Amino acid sequence: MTERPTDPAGLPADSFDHEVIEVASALVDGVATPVEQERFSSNPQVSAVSTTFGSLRGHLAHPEPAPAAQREAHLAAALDAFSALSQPVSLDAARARRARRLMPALAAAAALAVVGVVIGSMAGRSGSREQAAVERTVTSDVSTARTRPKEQAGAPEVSSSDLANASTDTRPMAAAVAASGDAVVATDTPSTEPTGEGGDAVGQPIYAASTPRQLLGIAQEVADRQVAGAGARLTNPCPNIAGEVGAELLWINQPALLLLSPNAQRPTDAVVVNPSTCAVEATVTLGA
Amino acid sequence: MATDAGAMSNADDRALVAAAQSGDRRALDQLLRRHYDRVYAVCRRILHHDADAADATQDALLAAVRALASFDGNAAFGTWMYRIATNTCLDQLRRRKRRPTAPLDETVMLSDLVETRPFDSTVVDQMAVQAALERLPEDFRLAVVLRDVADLDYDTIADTLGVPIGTVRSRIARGRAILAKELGNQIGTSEHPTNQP
Repeated sequence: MTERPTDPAGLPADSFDHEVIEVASALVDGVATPVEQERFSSNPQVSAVSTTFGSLRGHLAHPEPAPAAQREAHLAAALDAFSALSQPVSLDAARARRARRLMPALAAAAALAVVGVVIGSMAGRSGSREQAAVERTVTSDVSTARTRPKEQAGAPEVSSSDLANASTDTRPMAAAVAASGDAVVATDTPSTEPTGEGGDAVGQPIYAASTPRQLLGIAQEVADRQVAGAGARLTNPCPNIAGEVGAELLWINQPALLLLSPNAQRPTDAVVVNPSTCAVEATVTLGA
Repeated sequence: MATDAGAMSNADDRALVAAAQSGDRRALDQLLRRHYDRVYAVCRRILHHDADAADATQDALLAAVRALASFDGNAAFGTWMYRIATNTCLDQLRRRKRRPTAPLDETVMLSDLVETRPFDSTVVDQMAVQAALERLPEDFRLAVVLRDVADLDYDTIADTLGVPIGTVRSRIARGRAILAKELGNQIGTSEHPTNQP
């Protein structure tokens, strides 16, 4: 059995190595403790490793720069986004964009309706009970795809993929943001009651905020609605963030989700999340 | 370790941030230009691939612009911006399929380092650095990049990665050691005198 080499302090060589390496690294960053500095400042091995790490740091910090064209394009896009955020735009534009997004779904629903009518007429001619069952199924699917009736729309289960898709659109999202700094709650109808036809996808108000104060006001209202059982239930698309979706909103003119954390029944925080990247855009504490 | 130049730069950043938050487009342009190269460097070092890094850089800039109104100045703008970039890159790392790479040997002895001559830009090219970094285990790579590229302090790195500060210190040291060994092996150990007695 061979003895493991030791350093002068009697530590196993590999432990001593790790300590020297860690202290050398800490010295490069200026975070070594006074004790470490005193103990190792005259150690030539620490000096050598520190020099190596310092040189390595220099190499790491300067990769090849981005191509100039890419850099200018990125900066131009960011400035365009900034300009879009600075300009108040009309809610009509937001509605128009939403309508454009929903158009393919409505067209698909219409096509299903036609198929349902055809199948229904066939069922009528043949008198087959089986075909009549098919008709009922298809017709039911069509009505669900098109819109939910008002009495069923109180708390629909809705996927957030609509929002996620919308946020990948690079065009500025329209929203009316009050210059006074007060929160804007924009609805497609004067009432915040679910409207079924023609309103927001889940029959909820469209919220818009661009400051933490506005956000807090909205979050309180949404939390109150959820606690009262009056809010919509959307699927949280971000498994890495604990919480339930309380509402969709425009956060600084960008589509976002307002998550109530840890849950919608007893929320303590409201978190604004980008539905496509799941990045947290803002957080407010409720009741603060 | 704030230098005078760094402190002055932070003060300039604060003025530019204030102007940008008031709607000054030129101030924002100047602010983003100041930090663009490092944002891109962070993304390039974390994500390896040019296209991924470009996408993440773009996303980070847009996220920063959207969140600028809520930037409260508690941290330096650069720190805030690089954290956004880091989180954007981490999101992208989580989303994309992992590309298999042959990992580097994580066993490093002191002799591997003290017998390695310090790197010289004429013999260590950027491709070698990037290739070695790509093979570094992700935990170590993130810690090293956040420290040596983004220039974040240990507290901020610990906060960003969600690990204790002692873990950050250890990961940075081990990551650097593994990289130094790998790159030192590439350039040889021939005539460099050691500091050993």
